[in-house]
Amino acid sequence: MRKKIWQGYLLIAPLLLGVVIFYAAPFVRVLLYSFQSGGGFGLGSYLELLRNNAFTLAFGNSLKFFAAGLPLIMILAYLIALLLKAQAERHKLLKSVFLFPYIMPVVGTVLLVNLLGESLIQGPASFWVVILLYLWKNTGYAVILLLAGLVTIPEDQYESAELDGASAFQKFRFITTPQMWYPVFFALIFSVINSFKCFREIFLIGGEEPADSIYMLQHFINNSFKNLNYRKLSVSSVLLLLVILAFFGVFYGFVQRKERYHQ
Amino acid sequence: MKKTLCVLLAALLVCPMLSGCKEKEPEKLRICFDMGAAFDADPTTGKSNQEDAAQRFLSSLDDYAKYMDYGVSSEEIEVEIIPSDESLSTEREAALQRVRTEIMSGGGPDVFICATAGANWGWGWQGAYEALDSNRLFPYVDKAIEEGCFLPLDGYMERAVLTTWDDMFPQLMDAGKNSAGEQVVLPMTFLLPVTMFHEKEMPKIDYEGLAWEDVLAGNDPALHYLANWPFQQTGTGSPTFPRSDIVDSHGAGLSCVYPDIADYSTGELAFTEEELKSRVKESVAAYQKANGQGQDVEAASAYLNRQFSSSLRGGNITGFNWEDNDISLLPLPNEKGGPTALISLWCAVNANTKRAEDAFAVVDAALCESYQKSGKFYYFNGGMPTNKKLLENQNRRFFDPALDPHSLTVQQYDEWVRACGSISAARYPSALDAELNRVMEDVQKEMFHTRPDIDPEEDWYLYATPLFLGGEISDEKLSEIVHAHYEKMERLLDES
Repeated sequence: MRKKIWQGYLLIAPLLLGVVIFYAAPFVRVLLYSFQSGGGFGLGSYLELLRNNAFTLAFGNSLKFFAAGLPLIMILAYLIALLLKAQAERHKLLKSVFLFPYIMPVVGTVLLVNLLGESLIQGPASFWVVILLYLWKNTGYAVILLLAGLVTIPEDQYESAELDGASAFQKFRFITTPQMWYPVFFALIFSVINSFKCFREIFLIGGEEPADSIYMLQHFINNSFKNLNYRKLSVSSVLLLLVILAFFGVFYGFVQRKERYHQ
Repeated sequence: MKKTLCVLLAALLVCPMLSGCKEKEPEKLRICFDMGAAFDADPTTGKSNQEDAAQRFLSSLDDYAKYMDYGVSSEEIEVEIIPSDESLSTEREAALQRVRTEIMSGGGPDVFICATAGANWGWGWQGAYEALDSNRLFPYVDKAIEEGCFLPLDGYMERAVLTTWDDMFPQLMDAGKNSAGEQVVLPMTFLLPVTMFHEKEMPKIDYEGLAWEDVLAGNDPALHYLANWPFQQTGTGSPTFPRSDIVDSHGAGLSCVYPDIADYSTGELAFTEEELKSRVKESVAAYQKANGQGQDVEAASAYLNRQFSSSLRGGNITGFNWEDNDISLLPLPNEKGGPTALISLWCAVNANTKRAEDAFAVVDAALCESYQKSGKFYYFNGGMPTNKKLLENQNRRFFDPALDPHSLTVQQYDEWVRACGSISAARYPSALDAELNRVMEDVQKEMFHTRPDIDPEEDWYLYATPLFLGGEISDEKLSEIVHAHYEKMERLLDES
């Protein structure tokens, strides 16, 4: 048994070593920076940052972006995936078509958005332009992930439910949904990752100092890095990590509970 | 068998990582030069001025090494030049990112020699601020001083071999101290907002105790000229006076009216939005009044240059016969009285350095009189030296390597020292200065476009600025412009 454990550790050693050197160690340093304050050590930088208007604007906008973008992309992707599953046999190319926006060069996407005009990009409406851009670019990816989950659900379960007289909604509620929590969780993780990637497009549209409505946490972090302000950079990164961990923690707990109930 | 293979494979994967480990070579002292995005390459040689300046500085170090117990020779030094030519913007970005990452991870170059955003304000027309106000290695030097990015140098300065610190303008040296009073940055050159007149046509003006409010209220033609200052923009010369051969209008604009723009320790701007609005309003009114009455004719004939210090740079020297002209200088006073100097070139030692003594030897050499007096220093082209002895009597020389050395006359030197003696504030220009000046730029644009004879599609930059004379700006539009820029400044400060 002991030998098996040792072998296991050895197998993950290359990956673990990389994670420790390139992620964990720098993160410890970031944590240390975040607690430095006025020559001492404490929560001063955190309190200072919470009073910083640019940070609160950026943090608020990022949360707003998650709050609006994530449910929209999940609902849209789920609907398309369900539709695709029904039509997949007839339209095999459809799956690939949905991935086109994802692989489209970012410059092309930005040029497309710029056609909407300066006033739309610079004003409060720019937030929804960015949400649309995010949905257009990333929905296909979430669709593929969800579709992969949907096709693993055995067809005979649907057939027997049909024999029992179950409606389409009942099949969705009692067969599909309980077996889709993990794929949904997985698609959600990637949608969050993709929402961070969307910063590239926002940056190309609005530059380092975009309109207030699309000023995201990445702008604040990027500009703090440019200004060599380690403390602001570190504190905002730690706070962002905490929010994401809390979000995933809660959702993971929810999925676990559902899975336990299902089993 | 399968397990053994897997373990072997894992071990094989770890090996390449370990191959990166090797015996550490003795590290060279690193000097990082960042002259900013507008420090153009010399069109005649195609070589970056920055590179030239750096190489000449290194050769000076060899000359000085023999005098210093702790000196370093150029062989022990590695030079890191952040590309400055605009055509190398991608390389510049990459170099900045690399150096910033190094600094953040506790390393980085040992010595920094950097220009601020103010150093090259006279280099371009439209977009000049954009090129200058962003992406410096240290975009907010004042903030970096407070954040502890640099090593306190007081202890080393006492043991300096080459530089006599008492020769420096004290007001400028104070701008390199942190709130604990430690000297962490050493200013090398500076710009002073000062207008130069022919003395015979505009006799010396007593500007002691003069504040910006006095300029606005004054009736003297020279003061009217100063009142126009916030309207003067990069590259456009004076709005009321034609661009002359020797005008190298280093745009100081509205920002020089303020001794400080922000308090970096509290993270607040030095003025409210309402205060800024009334400052802009009164500048517009003073400008319209002065130009409407045509009172500047007398000043116009006497006018030589808006910025004396810039006349000592580059090709400007050739446009003016220095030996034959007596001058009178009139510094632009700030709100509290006395002019605000803008530091254009500075050096400092990285707080992370492991070779503090050697690093200090480099800054000692960079600040010393003999180096700054030499043609080698000229290549930095940053402004006037902070060592006041450099223009004094037998030393009063400035160099253009392509020309013979030039000298200030005793009269000119005395005027210069008098002007510098009145400096009441000094700071490192940043994106905040540029943003403040853009307020006036937008006001000008608006005034330009309200003229009935101007096509709304015309680019206002294509015309000399006097064309916005006669244009109007509504209170509502002015509030809108001020609000937008004030908000932007608040955000920049929050991010600094």
